[in-house]
Amino acid sequence: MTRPMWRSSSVRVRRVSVLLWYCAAALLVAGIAGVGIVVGGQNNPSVVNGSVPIAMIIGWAVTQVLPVLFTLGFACAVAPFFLLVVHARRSTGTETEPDTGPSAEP
Amino acid sequence: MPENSRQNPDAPPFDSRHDPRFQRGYRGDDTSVTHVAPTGASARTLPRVPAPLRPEPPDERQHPEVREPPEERRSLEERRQLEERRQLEDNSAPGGWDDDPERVEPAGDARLIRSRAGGSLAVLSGIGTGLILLGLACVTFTSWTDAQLIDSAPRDLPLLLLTSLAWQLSAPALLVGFGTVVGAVVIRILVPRAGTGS
Repeated sequence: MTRPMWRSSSVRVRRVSVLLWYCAAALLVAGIAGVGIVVGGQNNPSVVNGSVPIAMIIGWAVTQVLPVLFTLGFACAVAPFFLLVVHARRSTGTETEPDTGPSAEP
Repeated sequence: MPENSRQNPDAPPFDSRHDPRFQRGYRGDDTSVTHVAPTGASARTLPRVPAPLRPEPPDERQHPEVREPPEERRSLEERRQLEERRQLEDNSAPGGWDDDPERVEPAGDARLIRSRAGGSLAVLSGIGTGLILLGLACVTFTSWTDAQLIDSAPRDLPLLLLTSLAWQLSAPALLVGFGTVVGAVVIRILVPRAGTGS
């Protein structure tokens, strides 16, 4: 008397999707905050005329970190839809099936 | 004029103190309450208290289950059929839908899953297209505001922040957008649908 696979896997897919959306939100917020920090640092005279390592960190963040943060954020936001599409296709098999009307209903 | 003095002239004069109708708290034939003033000279009657409303009989058109006979009157066969029907409606019960490992969900379930999950390739392609458009908009905005930032002598900080954000967002949005559209096409081609064998 085992429960069918699609019922338990749908719960798992839903949980993973929620987790990925949380991760996406965190990454995008971190990226936006990073942009704010970098722009604020670039316009701060004490930072601009300060030590070289700070300018290097800002340059490294602009060129390396922020694009990765935004890319991962967008990817995590989109990935649950991939999961849901694949799960729906494998479990139902009616992806493009048209509605057959009242005759299909019991 | 009092009643007894009108019928019998020899009767003693009417004294309201001996008439129970004029006593405090007297209740007559009906439910009305007669209050007599301490002197017994005047009386006033409070309005009759309305009777409590009787509950209306149930409307059988709105509640068809009312027409069904009670459980005691059902025959054994009817009760057995009813129990089987309840078990089949309960998906987790033996014989229910969940108990059948070979069960293929009807179209209604498929629509339900898709509507809950939003899992359709059209949604995925739409998200990818939206991200591509977002990336293009960011690139356009960046190139448009760059000229304004060069002209502005004291740097406009909000505009600079927006420009920097758009510049940072443009490449990931384009990358993930194209990836999403390509992924939707790959899923359509490679992932088979259940029950179709393709």
